[in-house]
Amino acid sequence: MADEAAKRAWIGRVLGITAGSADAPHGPLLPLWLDAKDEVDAKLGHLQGSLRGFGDPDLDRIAEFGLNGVTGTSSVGLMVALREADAPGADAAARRKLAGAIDSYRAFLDGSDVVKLIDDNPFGVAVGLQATLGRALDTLASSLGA
Amino acid sequence: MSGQKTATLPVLTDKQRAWANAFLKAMGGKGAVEATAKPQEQRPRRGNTPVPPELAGGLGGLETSVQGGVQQARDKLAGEDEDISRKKRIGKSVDKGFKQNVADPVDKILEAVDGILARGGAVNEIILPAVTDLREKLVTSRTGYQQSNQREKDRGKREQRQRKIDAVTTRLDALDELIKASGGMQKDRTDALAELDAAGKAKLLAANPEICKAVIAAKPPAAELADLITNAPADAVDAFIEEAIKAHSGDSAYMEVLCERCLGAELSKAEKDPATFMRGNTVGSKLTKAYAASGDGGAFLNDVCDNTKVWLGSVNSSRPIEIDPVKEEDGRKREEGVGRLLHYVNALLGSLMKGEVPRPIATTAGMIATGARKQGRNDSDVAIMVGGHVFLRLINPALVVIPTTSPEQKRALILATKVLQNASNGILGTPKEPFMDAFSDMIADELPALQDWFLDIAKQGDAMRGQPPGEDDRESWIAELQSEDFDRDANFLPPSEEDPMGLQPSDPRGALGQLILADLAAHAPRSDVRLPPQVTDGFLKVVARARAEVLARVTEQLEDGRPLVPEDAQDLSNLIDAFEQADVDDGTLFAAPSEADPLGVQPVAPRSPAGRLILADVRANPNTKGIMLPPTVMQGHLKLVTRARTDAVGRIVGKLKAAQ
Repeated sequence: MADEAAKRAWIGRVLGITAGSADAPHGPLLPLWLDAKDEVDAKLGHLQGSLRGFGDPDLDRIAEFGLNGVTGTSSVGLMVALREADAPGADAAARRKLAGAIDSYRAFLDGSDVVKLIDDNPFGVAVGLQATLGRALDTLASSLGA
Repeated sequence: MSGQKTATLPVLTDKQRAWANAFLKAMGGKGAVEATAKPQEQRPRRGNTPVPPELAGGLGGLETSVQGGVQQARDKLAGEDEDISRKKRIGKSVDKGFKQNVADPVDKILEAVDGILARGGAVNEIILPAVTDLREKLVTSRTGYQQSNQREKDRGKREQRQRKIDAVTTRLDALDELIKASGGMQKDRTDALAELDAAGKAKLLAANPEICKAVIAAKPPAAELADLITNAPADAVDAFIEEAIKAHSGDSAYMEVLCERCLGAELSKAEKDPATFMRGNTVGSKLTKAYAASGDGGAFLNDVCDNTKVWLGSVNSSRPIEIDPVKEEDGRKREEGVGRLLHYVNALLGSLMKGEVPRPIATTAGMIATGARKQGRNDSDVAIMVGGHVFLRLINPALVVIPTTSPEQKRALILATKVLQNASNGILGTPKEPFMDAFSDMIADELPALQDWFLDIAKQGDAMRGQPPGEDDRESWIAELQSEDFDRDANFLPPSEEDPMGLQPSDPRGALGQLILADLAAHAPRSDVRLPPQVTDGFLKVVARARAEVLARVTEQLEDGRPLVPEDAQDLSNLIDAFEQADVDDGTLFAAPSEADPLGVQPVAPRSPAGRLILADVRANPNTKGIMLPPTVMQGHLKLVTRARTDAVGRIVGKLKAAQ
């Protein structure tokens, strides 16, 4: 599912062709996001483990209180909007709300120092936060016909 | 063990350390938040207030003796005219050194004493060390002048120097007058204080903060200081506690006895209304809070705050946290807020429960749990009381004063503390704030582990203070201490110059060692004993007696720690039967009336389970006011006695049945 969406997103982004029409029924959107989030969370889990392995209070603090905020709590708004857009009978307002939430999360990803620091971490754990979640956002946006 | 663990941990590179610092800064955990911190408000200092008129007699001319000393010192220095003529002869350069090293310092001391006396302050504690120090310097100067003169061949120079020697001697005499007067003041004050009861002393000290500071800093036995604090006027309690913490927070045995005594006094007062124990800002709650937040306890709380600052870094005006529908209409945002709070609370509880709790927090938690158990509370109530100590009195107040950069962060902290408060109290929902119901599931899930943790902290604290882990252990420890085979001397270090009575425990980290240290904090050893050049059998007998006294008090303290209400259902039932069927006047429960106990309500066997219940009841119901033992005990008085005893038994039976 995620691969298919990613392919459509690539076609849209690189070739400028919207794969699948707005009329065509699309599958639920939330799983697309959850797949990407799970992928990132797993990598963040590796980073967390690596940080904890030093027995350093600062790194412990980052592991416990600093990493979850990036994908977990910050994306709650996006997930709510995705649920509403996936709900039976979701209307244009729900899709607009989702578009807004996508933009908002993208702005967060682009502007967050923490996201950059996680991606550029010196602990040898490739998280690819911006790339993975950014791709998923592209997919979601293309599903909306954006 | 910990050394091995450290050796296997990887070492952070400079790049990794820089990354961690940058991360924490980005989250507001290092530097960012502190940079906007407002300077902490200075607590207003209590001014010097005059001694209350009713205590003026008790001060017995404390200040006048020093004033007399200052006057005599001035009289000795009265020949200023002569000094002026000497200056011309001594010569400017020499005179300048004399002025700087001898004349000016003495003048300054006398002026300082005048100033302190004018403020009603404690002269000897403040000025005596300075006077003594200056005296030593003057003696050294005089010796120097005298030695120089012995070598001096020029008669004129010898005469000049002799004049300086005379001038120094005059000033030394002046300082001696001051020291003498100050010593007299100290004795007068000690005598005056000794004549006052705890309430009188507390009132006197409350009115004279400088004397108060000196008395507390001198480390009176913890039991005495506890009496002073519990008897202090309400508006002075904070100052007493502040001084005690400032002077002694590093001495855990001393502070813990102090806390235990104050809580014990509060527990006795709460006999009538158990709900008042640790409710509101009582002396016990203030002292335990202040001690728990000191030293390692303070570091622990700082750590919690630092963790929270990292989380707060994700809260700003574009991403606020609000869960109250009155303040945030958007349900999606409220839901997000709940999610973020849940994450924080889970992370915080997780880090707390897996970490170590420092001694000041653990031991105070143990004392509160013991107090609650003495009131017959069950484990769940005990856990809530300990939770109240840990969260309501320590963690939450520390969190809400974290300097924040925005109103959104402030609001997030308030909401977070609400969740923590509900979790520690086991509150799953409240009609007043229905939006807090969003945390009910989390609280219901976490509550058993959280309550176990609270009880575990208390248990750890008890172990740190050497308290027995269970009632069976308590009984076996008491039996061991009372056994003839018990090797008393093996549990103490041999007498030394620092500890001439040989009362320091041989294993201060062990349970008995901790109990001995607590006893020494409560009852200071005799200060007039010095280690003799040769330790004789006679001296060892004195040591043995002192050790036996310590161990007797330790045993007594262990006996006092037994639960007042038996935990075993059959024991409880038997005790109720014994009270219900007892003849209150047959001498099995109550001792005969005496002058000290005109109503005859003191127990025959104060250490027995029944005796301890009677003692607790007597303390909670002091009903002998105005009643005296008549020269001949008549029928009328005996009726009073029987009624008082029957009332006591009724109250005790009621209490025991409530625990069934």
